[in-house]
Amino acid sequence: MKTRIKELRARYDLTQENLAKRVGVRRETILFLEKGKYNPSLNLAHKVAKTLRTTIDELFIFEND
Amino acid sequence: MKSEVIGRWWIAITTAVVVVAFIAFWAALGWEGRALLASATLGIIIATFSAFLWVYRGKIQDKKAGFPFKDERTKYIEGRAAHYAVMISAWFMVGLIWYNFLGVDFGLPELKVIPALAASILVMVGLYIGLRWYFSRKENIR
Repeated sequence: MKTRIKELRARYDLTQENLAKRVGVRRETILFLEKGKYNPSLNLAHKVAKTLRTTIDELFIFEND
Repeated sequence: MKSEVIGRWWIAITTAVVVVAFIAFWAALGWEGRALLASATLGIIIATFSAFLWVYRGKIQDKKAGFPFKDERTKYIEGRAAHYAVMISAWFMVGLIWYNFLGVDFGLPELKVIPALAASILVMVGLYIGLRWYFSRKENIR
């Protein structure tokens, strides 16, 4: 799984810490999410997508799609 | 003061306290094998408590900075670590029971309640801490 979190974070000038605080998770969770190494819950995926003003399917790219 | 500097001081002070407590306890109980085991257990308890305080201090700092104590990933990691720690410890305890059943026949010394209980607790706590650390570093845990 790949994500566009880093790209969108840069667009809205957000640090990993800022994003983590906004969605209510720890920094490590954002780090692992960004690397595509953690599969978030639907709730967290929704919160991250909403914060980055996008949709879940735009944010997460599955390699077999 | 930087976190790494505090960390070094923390480790140095804890080590000194553990060594002093170990020697003092050992001297108070007498210089025998059983006293050594009791002193080592006291040292482990102090070191574990200090490690707990260190982790808690970090979490308090994170909380003040606006991060939650736990999020869905940490809850998942802790749950998984606890599951494996309980399962492995249960097998360890079964092993201890079988040691007592069969050990007598092979001439091995019989296991007493307190060392068996202490070993089981240490295995369970140690496994939980170790597995939590391992899963937190492991990449995709789902």
